[in-house]
Amino acid sequence: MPMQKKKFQSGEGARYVTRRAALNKLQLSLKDFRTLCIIKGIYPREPAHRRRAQRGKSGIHILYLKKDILFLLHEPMIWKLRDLQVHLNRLRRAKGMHQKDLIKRFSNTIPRVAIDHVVKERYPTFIDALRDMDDALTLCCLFATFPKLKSIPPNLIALCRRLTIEFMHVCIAARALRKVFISIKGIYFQVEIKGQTITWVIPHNYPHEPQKKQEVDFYTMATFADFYSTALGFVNFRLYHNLNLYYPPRLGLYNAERLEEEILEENETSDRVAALNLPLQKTAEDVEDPADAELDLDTFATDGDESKAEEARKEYEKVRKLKKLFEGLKVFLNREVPREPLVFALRCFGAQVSWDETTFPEGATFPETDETITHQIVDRPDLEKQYISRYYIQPQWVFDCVNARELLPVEKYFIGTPLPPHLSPFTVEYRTQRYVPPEEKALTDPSVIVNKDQELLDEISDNDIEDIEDDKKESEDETMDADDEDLDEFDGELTEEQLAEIKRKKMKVESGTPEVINKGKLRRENHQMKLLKEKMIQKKYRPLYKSMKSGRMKREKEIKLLKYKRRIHERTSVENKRAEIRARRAQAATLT
Amino acid sequence: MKTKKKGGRRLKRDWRRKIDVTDVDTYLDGKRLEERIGDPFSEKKDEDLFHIDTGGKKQKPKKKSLNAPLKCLSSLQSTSAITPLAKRSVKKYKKNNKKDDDFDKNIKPLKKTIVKKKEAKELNKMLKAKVKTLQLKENSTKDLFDKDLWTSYREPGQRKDKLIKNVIKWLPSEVLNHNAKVLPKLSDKKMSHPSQSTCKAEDMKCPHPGLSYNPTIEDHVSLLANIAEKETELIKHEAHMNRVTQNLFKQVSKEKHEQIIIEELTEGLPGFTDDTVTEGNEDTSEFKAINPPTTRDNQKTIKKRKIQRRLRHEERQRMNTKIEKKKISDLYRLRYIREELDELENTTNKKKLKRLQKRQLNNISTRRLGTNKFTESLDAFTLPKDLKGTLRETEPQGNIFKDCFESLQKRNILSVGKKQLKIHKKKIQAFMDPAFKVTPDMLAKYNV
Repeated sequence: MPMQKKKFQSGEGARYVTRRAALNKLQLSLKDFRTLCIIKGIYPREPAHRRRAQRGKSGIHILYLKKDILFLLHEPMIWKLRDLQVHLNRLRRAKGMHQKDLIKRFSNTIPRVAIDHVVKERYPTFIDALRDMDDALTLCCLFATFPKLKSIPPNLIALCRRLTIEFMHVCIAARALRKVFISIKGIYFQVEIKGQTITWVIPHNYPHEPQKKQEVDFYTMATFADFYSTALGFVNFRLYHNLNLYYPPRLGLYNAERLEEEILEENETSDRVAALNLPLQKTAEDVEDPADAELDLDTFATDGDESKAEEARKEYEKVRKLKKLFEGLKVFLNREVPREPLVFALRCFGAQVSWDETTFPEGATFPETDETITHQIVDRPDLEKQYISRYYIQPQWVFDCVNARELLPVEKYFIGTPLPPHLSPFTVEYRTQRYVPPEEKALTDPSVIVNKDQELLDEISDNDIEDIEDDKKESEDETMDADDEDLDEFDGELTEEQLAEIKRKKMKVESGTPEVINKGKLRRENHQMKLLKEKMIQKKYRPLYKSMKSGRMKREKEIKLLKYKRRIHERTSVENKRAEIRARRAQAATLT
Repeated sequence: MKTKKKGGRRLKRDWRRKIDVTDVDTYLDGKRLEERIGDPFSEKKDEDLFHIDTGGKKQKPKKKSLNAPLKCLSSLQSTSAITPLAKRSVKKYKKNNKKDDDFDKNIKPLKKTIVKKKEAKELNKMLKAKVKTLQLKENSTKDLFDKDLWTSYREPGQRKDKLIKNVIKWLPSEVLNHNAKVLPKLSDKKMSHPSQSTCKAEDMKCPHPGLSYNPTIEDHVSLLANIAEKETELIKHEAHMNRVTQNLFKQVSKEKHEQIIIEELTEGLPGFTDDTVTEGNEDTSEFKAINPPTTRDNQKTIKKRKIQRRLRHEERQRMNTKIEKKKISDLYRLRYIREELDELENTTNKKKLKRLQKRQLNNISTRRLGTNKFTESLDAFTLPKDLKGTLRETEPQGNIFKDCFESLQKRNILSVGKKQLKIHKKKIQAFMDPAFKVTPDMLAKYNV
């Protein structure tokens, strides 16, 4: 008789295990299992057929892959967790029995569960770790703002604060900041490190608001923070060493006494470090500054696509300029301005920053009375004493400059003036093809001139209309005059030059003429090539391609239509205005 | 002369049997005894063996000293002349810890100067605290992050797992694989981390431009429109749920409900019911089943049966001719079949594509990991009147901590748990001391 085949011994039923089964297999408590899963990065899965995966049971259980659980089984941390459990049991018992000496001993010797190897395991390369820093930084920044809470170990909060400050320091040293966005939730920062963009949020500087416990599971989040803080620490270590900086950071010039002080100081962020205002000490001299680091892009082999290479070059050039955006500026922060994000944003682009010593005791480098200050950042409607030598601007200027990648004119941001809108640099164009009105274009690209009808009107306007006078027109006239002068000069020297040229022509090699390209032919060829390419599409994707193509056509048509409408509207409005002017002129004529 | 014994020559044992070794043994025994006891008496000098008795009189035996070992233990004492190689069972005392040294050096002399006991106690406390902080600082200087995880370069002091590598070198692979189950460290094969694709949370990365503290009007309006749309959907859903559940049932006030219950329970009871209503037209006819059994009278006649049979036959014939006709027509229809097949293929392809797209969408979207389904909460927003336009006056909205938590749930990292509506606190059982119990007698006693 053949072996009887039982149900769920192969296939989906055998591939999944419930959480209960996993607990039994690993011999862990639910709490420990949760911690282990978070630290090791094992998450529950949803099977394709739940009934089958649950071995015929109805309802919804939390399922894990059996493979994942076997993977957890090999983790040496499990033994540590078990030891910890035993230790805690002893401690609890001692507490219950009021054995003071035992309590003291046990609470001093709680075993630490090291998770360094897990960090390495989850992020095999440094780039992998950087890619996952988004969450880590957001969570650590958040934990850094927490007061002492019952469900969160106190040293974790201090560690998070220290690590985020250190990361900010490294960003300043590497000039890595790219984008800033102030939202109502918090302030978003985006840095670029080793080609990876890292975005994180820091909450606004407000006192801690107690969280509702039913919304967020504190214990789980503390475990996440634990793992992420470890990962962030090692990332910091590597970043510091890549930039030839000491880790734990040392500030200022080398000084034996100071060094000792620094070491003796509590390891968790000292105020001097948190000030973010002093340069970090380097391990080696004569190292290229990341701000001046230049890359010879020509050395890179460009694979065919020249337009892409050109684009990359332009982008690189922009970033190079951005890194030195605020170089040479001396900025003073007023009391009401959020210090940390502004210092971070300013120092990342090379500005010198200081603030009122009463707000933050350490790190202020120059007083408000310093005459060399170029900008003072103020966020109040008016200021009593103002210096002539500096601009008084609102904090948004700094962030808008960073996002625009150039120093914007300060007039719009003067003290007390209503600010222009703060745009998000994180806009993602989900639909690439859409109609962009010229007003919107002007917001992102100031070179585009929005109002053309004013110019059109200028063209129409005759000399006798004195109502409408524009600087532009004047400038145009000036240029016209200049052209005339040039022509006159040319006429005067014509004879001599012509002679010389005639002489030269005999000896000269004829200048090359540009190659005549038949544009129509080229277009036709391109079209044919495209058709050939389309032929190569697999049959199963052809309908998808077709739908994509039709959609594209549709959108193009829409854009065209909207543009056409806009043109019509502009023309009619111009004509209306023209008619108005004419009417006014006629009225004036009748009056006179 | 001894006769030669006959014996084997092959083994060592045989040769031993042949040779007489008693003289060697006795010599060796004597030698060992000599070593244990010392030189033989024959070699000892007279002074060692004898002594001249000059005292004459008997002396009183000395009292046994208490320090001397007991007689019964004499057998345990070694009498051998061989000096032991090393002293055994001597407890080694560790040198005092460094910290204690510090304590002795720094604090003990200080302590000597103090006279008063109370002061001494206080100072002791302070000193101890200081020592503790020093210790803490010593610990804290050791940084948690003191190595580069992502480099193959090893610091000179860093430990290398020598044993494992050495063991692996000479163990055959089968043995390694066999033992790997017991000793996972031994195998050089590492379990790779199971790659788990989590869906991307775009919401964390790209905040809506309308969330700016000073947004453009268009962005802000679009954000508010988004939120309003979601909210209206929610309201609609709630209304639907109400309609389907609560409104299906008639709602009655409490008093009326009680009245109805009383009416129902007392129905038919002589005292309560109103007997005014008379039941007039009662059906007095006989009982009749819905499908009464057939009787002999209702039997089909032969003629009727014949007619029925004929009709059935004709019907069958008609059907057959129809099928035959269809066969012929199908032959003509052959050329159209291809078109039909094409159409069928087209529809199946379309379905396949749809399914593919759906699956791809599913991969990105959140999945259901536990009992509860993930529901996205509404984004933070400010009403236009609350937008101040300056950084100083902006009020922070939303909860980043909650966003973090929900984004983890959205990316299938955490399963959605039950929302804790109330926090369960442990109930503390309190007991009253019987002495404090207030009894009525006591009340009477104190005229309360």
